[in-house]
Parts: sequence; structure tokens; C-alpha cells
Amino acid sequence: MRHCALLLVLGLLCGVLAFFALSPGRGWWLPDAASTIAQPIDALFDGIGLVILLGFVLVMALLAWAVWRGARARTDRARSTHGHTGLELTWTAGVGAILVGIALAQLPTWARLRDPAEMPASGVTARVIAHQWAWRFEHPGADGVLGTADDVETASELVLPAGESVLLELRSRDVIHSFFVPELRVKQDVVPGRAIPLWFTMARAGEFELVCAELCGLGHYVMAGRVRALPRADYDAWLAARIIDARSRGAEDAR
Amino acid sequence: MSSERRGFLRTWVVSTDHKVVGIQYLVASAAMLFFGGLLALAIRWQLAWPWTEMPIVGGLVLGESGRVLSPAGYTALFTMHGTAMVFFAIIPLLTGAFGNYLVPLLVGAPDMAFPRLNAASFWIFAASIVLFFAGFGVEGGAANSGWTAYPPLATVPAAAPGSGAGQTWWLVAITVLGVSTILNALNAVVTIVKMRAPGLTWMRLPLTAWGLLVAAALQLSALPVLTAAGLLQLADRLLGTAFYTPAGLYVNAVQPDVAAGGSPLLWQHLFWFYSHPAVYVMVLPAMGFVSDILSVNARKPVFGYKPMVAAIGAIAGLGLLVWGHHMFTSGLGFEMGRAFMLSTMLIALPSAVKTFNWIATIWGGRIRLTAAMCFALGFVALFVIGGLSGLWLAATPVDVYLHDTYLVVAHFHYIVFGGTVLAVFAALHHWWPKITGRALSETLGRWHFLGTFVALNCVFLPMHQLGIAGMIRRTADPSVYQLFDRLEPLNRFVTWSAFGLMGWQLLFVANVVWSFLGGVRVGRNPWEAASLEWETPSPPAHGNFDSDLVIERGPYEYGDAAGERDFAPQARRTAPREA
Amino acid sequence: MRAFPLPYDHAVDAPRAGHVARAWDSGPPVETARFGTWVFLGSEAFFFGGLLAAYVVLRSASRAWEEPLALGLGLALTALLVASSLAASAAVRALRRGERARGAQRVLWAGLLAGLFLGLQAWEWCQLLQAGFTPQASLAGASFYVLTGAHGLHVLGGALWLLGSACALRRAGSGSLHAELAALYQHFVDLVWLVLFAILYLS
Repeated sequence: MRHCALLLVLGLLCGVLAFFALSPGRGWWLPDAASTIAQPIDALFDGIGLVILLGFVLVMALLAWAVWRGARARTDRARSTHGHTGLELTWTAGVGAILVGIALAQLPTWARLRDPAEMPASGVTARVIAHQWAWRFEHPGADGVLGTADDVETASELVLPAGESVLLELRSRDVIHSFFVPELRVKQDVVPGRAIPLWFTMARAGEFELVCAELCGLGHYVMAGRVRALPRADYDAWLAARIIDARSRGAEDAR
Repeated sequence: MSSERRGFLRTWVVSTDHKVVGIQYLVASAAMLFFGGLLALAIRWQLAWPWTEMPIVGGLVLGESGRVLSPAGYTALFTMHGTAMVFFAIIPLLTGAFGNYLVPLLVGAPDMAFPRLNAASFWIFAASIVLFFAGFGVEGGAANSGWTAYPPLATVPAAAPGSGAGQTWWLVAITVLGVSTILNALNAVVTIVKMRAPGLTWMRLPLTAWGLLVAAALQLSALPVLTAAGLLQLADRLLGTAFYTPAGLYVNAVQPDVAAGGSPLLWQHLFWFYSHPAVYVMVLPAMGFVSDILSVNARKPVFGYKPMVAAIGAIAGLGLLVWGHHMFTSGLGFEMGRAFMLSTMLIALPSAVKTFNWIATIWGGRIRLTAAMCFALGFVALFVIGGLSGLWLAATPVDVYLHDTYLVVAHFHYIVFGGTVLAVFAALHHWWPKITGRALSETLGRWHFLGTFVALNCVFLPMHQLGIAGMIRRTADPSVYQLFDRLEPLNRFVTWSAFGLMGWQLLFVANVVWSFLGGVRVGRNPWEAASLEWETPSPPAHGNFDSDLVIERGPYEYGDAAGERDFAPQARRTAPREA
Repeated sequence: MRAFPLPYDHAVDAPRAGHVARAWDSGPPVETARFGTWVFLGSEAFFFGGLLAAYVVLRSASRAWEEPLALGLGLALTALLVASSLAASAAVRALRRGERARGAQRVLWAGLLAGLFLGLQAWEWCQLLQAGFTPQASLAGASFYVLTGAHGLHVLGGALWLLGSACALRRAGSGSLHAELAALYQHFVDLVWLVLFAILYLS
């Protein structure tokens, strides 16, 4: 009986650890990071992951040992221990210290993500408009101001300059959506009736999938978009081409 | 009166005996658990083989007409799975079934404080189940905006088909259920506070009673807030108010004909003010069962009884202050996020203390690996996994990434399935002889445990990887995103394991049947346990105790200091009661 | 694999016949019922707390918030409910002295005053609705009707409870516990009204 129990626990332990060890190689892990904020977030994830690993192994080992020892055939009785104040204080303080440590370690990153004082002062880089079940984006034109004639609108694809901090304004026309780019490690709900700021810096150029992470109705699962990060020069060129496009279309319309 | 034969109707249907009410709750909520499980299988089928014909279960859940899920069907599925499991299965299993059955027995009382109210709370519960199912039959189908029912998706009928009549039925069902739950919790609190047998001081109360008491207190304080929130949402739907509907909406490119100006986030605050403590309602009684079962089967007192009680209190108290951690990405704001992160970190402490106390309880014990003990040990192991993954989610920057991914699904299923459901199986094995007078098969029970334990890890462990890789929850088809393509084998493995897990539960059904047909008849105290419920005959008759009790000590006197045997019963039986 | 001996206790004994506790047939003891009512009121307080929290949040977030309520009418409503509450506590005092007839009369008065409150409130609702202050028109309207409506349903419950216990007091030997608990409930409903009056009519 107790051999079975021990085998079960050891099997579980090894299985779990092996499974987690193999996962990154199969791509079942954090996607490649593409923003500057990803570095501290991933570091926190790894650090807490280490605490989780140690806690898991410690508790399982203690549990397995206690059962292994306790399930032996014996006729004598257990000691009627009701507690041990010193021991209990020790583990309470130990766990408390770890939790306080984790709490403190994340504060600077949380501030970088959400503290209004950290918001880039350069003005809005693009406006994101979510609706059932697609994304629309408005880029300010040459004047750098939204709501003017040279705004550039795109559907599904948000184009942003890489390597510099960008500020998005998130709006929804209908229900709550969520702007989630796994590779950038950013996620922010888009709440109708509010304009929510979101800022980050893309560390490299590339194309990243944009996922709606908040249930928004039947088409929630297809509400995909794309974020394209371009080096500054390419971004300016893209924007200029689009502005000319928009002007010529406007001119055609006027004729 | 117990010698008198009463008809089926008076014994099992209109009885006010707390044990009968408990068994009624057990049957009803077990049925809901099975139903919720079927929905889960349909969800898993869709995630492994999207938009393909579903065998067997498809016919059962979707009917012959629609074996292939539609997006509307899928969203309704997970909405109703969550609702059925949280509100109609797990909570009633703990506070309804075991709460009703055990509370008077644990405190040495002949019944609940208000037996008729108790019976009424079950029948109101039954009515709410009917309302719940009625939602499936209405125009547009069942509610499909998630069990969290976030407005405006849930409140604007144009936003989702289930947000028409289905959502109204859902709200009515939840409100009626809330009334039933509050009445039941009221009964539990009054019974434990006012009807303890002479000598049963607070510090002699078994931890199961403490867990049930504090869970009931949490329901009494937090659930009315959800009821109030539900009334506001009902008003939005039926009266045309705009508590949760912001201004300037365009749904399907038209401005919906509803009033505006309200706040969608208000609902989230009010909803989570109850629905986060609901997690503690689902876990505190389970922690109580496990504490008792570990102690009985390790033949050792619970280690650190008073810290255990304090931890239950601390979890409940802090539990009312952490709801905002469901809203870290909702636009909650920087300071609020920081405050809720701190309270969430704090609440991990009492849970960790309890875990260490459980290990210390069995440390050096004389362990009997009964089926109940196996399940209780399984609870500790899996609760630890669920608790540890919570550390990632409590850390705000990491939660920004993991929120609404499968890691969250993995996390709470480890707590609710790995934790609570295993504790319920432990409790069933432990108290079954008391409830029915016959034992369950230990052999079958251990095999049932083994398969369940392995299969549920196969189901829920890979969900961690799915979430870490970014796969969002509530998606009907992960293959839409290239990022999630490589997760397909994991999704299929999870689904196969889920079918295995469900199938393996047949062993438990077989065990129940076996017990009724040929299970060993047991006496009053088959496990040599010390607490009060074992002083009654198995099963106890209406009125419970057939002798007067004098409570002399705490509920956990096991081991070498206990006296002539290795346990010392809490109570001394005095003169038998007169007829 | 060692199978430990299961400690099944095989001394299966049938429960002794006729030990059913009869205490429950006549209802729970007074002390328990009283405590139960207090616990229930505590839970009710959270219900109104939730509604009031929603009100405060919505109101503080809105720029325009107009409640065209008549203070005089509000004062009249308050007076009715306070009078009902006073009558109820006078009834309880009388019952404690053993004056059943007088107690029953005062309980009846308390119930009738609560009923009058409801009548006046219904009239107020009609006036306001006709004046265009509807639940659909503004959040202020929505909040007003939901708050006073939820409270009104509680007053209705209290009035029915009071009237029911007045009947019970006239008929049989019991009913004074019911009257006492109904009075307690009425005080609570009164207290909630005072809060509603302050936030709706005074600010």
C-alpha cells in the first residue's frame, strides 16, 4: 500500500518536473519577447517560478516522507502533539518573508506598466478602436495629432515605430474587449465609454499577433489583429505613403 | 417515532430533518456536477477538434439537430458550465449537502435551528435549478456572456444571442439561488452559535464546523451584494435603466435603444465582491473536512488547532478585500492594483500555514491509508499546486500577461477540482457509513482515487503550459492564431484525459451501488473517530442523539495521551433519552 | 501491500425507538429566533450596503445628477415610518408587561402606518413618473426607483409580518415572539430609510 503511495507521489513529481522541463523546447512556453517591458516581466515570472518549484518540491517531499513513514505497520501509538509554537512561527515568518519579497519585487514593474507618471509625454501614437469583432486603428498623420484630416486609418493592422515608447489610446464601440499582444506581454481591457492609455516600447521590428482576451460575444475567438513594428525610417515612409494615399483619395472624392 | 414507518413522501420529500435535507442537496448537486461535467466534455471536444461532429455527448448536450457546435453554442456551453459548477454544484455540495448533514451532528444538536426554513431553502434551491434549465429553452438560447456576465455584453440584447431572454432567466435563477443560500447559511450560523451541546466550547469545535461556520458567514455578508448587483442588472434588462451601460455604444453598427451613462466596471466590482469570496466558500469547508480526515486517519491530533482556526478567519476576512485582483487589467488604476496585489499576497499566508499544519498533523502519525485518507492527501497535494500558481497571478505585472489565459483556468481548477472535489470525495468516503449505515468498498475507493488523481493532473497540468504560451480562455478555436498552433497536441491530450477522468468516475457509481447492495454494515464509529457525530447510531434517526452528551474535550484526542484506546471521544454519553 | 485492518465497528445497534426530540415541534427557542433575526438583518445590511455603494459610485462619476424630490414629502414619509417603528416598540413594551390586547393594538398600528408609508410612496412615484422622472431617463431616476423600490418591498414584508403577528396576538396564546421580531425588523427598515432619506432628499 505505502509502496504504491510512494510510487504514485514520486511518479507525479517526476512527471510534473519532466513535463515542465520539456515544455519550453516544444514551444509550450512564453513566446519570444518583443518589448522592453517583457524583460522584467519574464524575470518576475522566472523568479516566482523558482519559488513555485521549490515550494512544490518541498511540500511534496515532506508529504511523501510523512506518508511513507506513517503508513508502516506499527502497533504503538503516535505522540499526541497539539502543536509547536516555535515551529509554527518559523514557517509563518518564512512564508511571510517570501511573500513580502515577491510583493516588493514586482512594484517597479507594475509602476512602469501602469503608473500615470510613467506615461510617455510625447502624445498619442495611435488610437485603437475595438468593436465586435475586429480592430480598427487611427494613426495621427504628419501633424502628430489625432482627429485631423491627415489621420491614417487601418483595419486589423496596427503599425508602430520600433525602439521608441509608444502611447495607445484604447476605445471600444460596443462591449468590453481586451488588447493582448502575447509577444509584447501587454494586456489591457478596452472598456466602452472610456479612453484607456497603454504604453510600451517594442524592442525589435517584426509582426506580432494581436489577440482579444476578453469575451466579447460569438466572434470573440476570431477577433484577431496584427501589430507591425517598423524601424523609425520605415515607419515614417509608411505613414507618408498612407497620407498621400488618403489625400489623393480625398481629392478623387472631391472631384 | 423512528420505529414508526412513514411513507416515502414524508421521509424523503417533505421532511424537515436536516439529514434528509442534506441528502436532498447531495443528490441534486451531484446531478448538477454530472451535468456540468458533460458540458466540460463538450467544451474540451471543441477545443481539441474544433467544429467537428461530436459523438455521444453531442447528442446528449446539443440534441440531434446540432452535433457540431456553433459559436453561440460554445459560448453558452462555458457560461453554463461555470454557472452550474460554481453556483449549483460545488457550493451546494459543501454548504448544502455536507453543511446540512453535518452541522447539527458536529455540535451535538437534534436538528438545525430552523428546520422548516431549512427544508424551504432546499426547495428554493430546486426551483432555481428549474429556472437555470429553463434558460436553455428560450429564444436565443441560454445566457452566453460567461458565468461572470460582464455588461454591456450581458445587458445589451443585440450584443449576443444569449443576452436576450437567456440572460434574464440566468439572473433570476442566480437571485433565487442566492435567497436559498442565504437562508441556508443563516441556519448554519445560528445552529453553530446557539445550539452547541453543553461543554462544546468554541475551541472544542471540529475544524469542519469552523469551516462551515465561516463559509456561511461569508455567504451572509458577501452574497447579498451579488443579489443587489443582480437586481441592478435585471433593472437594466427589464426596466430599461442604465446602471451598467455606458454612453455612446454602437452595437452591430446601430445605437442600441437603451438608456446610457452607467459603468460596466461597477458590475465587475460588485460581482467579484461575492464571487471571489465564493472561492473561499468552496474551499474553507473542504479544508475542514480534510483536517478532520487527516487527523482521524493519522491517529494524531490536528497540529496547531488554534492557528488553523485563526487561518480560517484570516482567509475569510482578507477574502472580502481581494476581489480587485480579478480586475488588474480592467483599467482599475495603478494604486488600486497595488493595494489589491498586497491584500492578495497576504491571503496566501494563512493558506500556506494550513498546508504546513496538515503536513505536521500526519508527521509521525500512524497512517491508515483509507480511501478517504487518500483523497484527503490528494487534496493537500493539489491544493498546494493551485495555491502556488496563484503566486504568478497575484504578481500584477505577470498577471497582466497571464490574465484571461488558460493558466487562470488551470489555477482555479486545481483549487476547485483538485482541491474541493477531492475533499468532497474524501468526505463522502468518510461520512458515507454514517449517512447510510454501510461502508463503501475501500478497494474500489482507492482505485477510484488513483485514476481520478492521475487523470485530473493530466487534464489540468497542461493547462498551465497552454496559459503560459498565451492561449486565451473562452476561445472557441485556438487555431485562429498562429501562436497557438503548436498547442494543438496539448489541447488534444487534455481532452483525451478529460474523457478518461469522466469515465473513471463510473468506479464511484459502482462503489455506491455496491455499498447499497452489499456494503458492510457498520456501527456507530467505524473509523474510531473522536468527534460527536460518531456518538449517534449509523444512520442517525430523526433527532440524532439517543443519549444526553457531556462534552469533555476537544475533537482531536488521538495518540498516546488519549487513554486506554488510541482515541478519546469528545463526549461522555449519559443517561439514554426517554421515549 | 499491507492492508491494515479496517476498524469497522461491528456493534450495529438500532437507534432506540422514540428518541426524536420534540423540542422542534413548537418552534425554536426564543433566544435562537432572536439571534437568527439579528443575523438575517446583518445580511440585509450588506444587501443595502451593496445598493448604496453602487449609488455612491454612480453618483460620484456623473456630472449631472438631478433628483426632483420634494423634501416635505420625504419628511412625511420619514415621519410615517418612524411612527410605525415607535408604535412597534411601544407594542413590544406592552407585551413584555403582559398587556396582550394593548400590544396587539399597537402592533396593528405599526403595520397600518407602514402600509400608509407605502401608499404615500406609491403616490410619490406616480407624481414623479408623470413629471418625467423615470428610471429610463437618467441614472438618478434609475437609482431612486431601485433604492426606494427595494426598500419598499422590505417595508411591505415588515407590514405583512406586523399585521400577521397582530392577528396571531388576538387569536391564540402565541404571537408575542413574532411581534417582537417583526418590530425589530421594522426598526431595521426604518434605519435604512433614514439613510435613504439623507442621501436622496437631503443632498
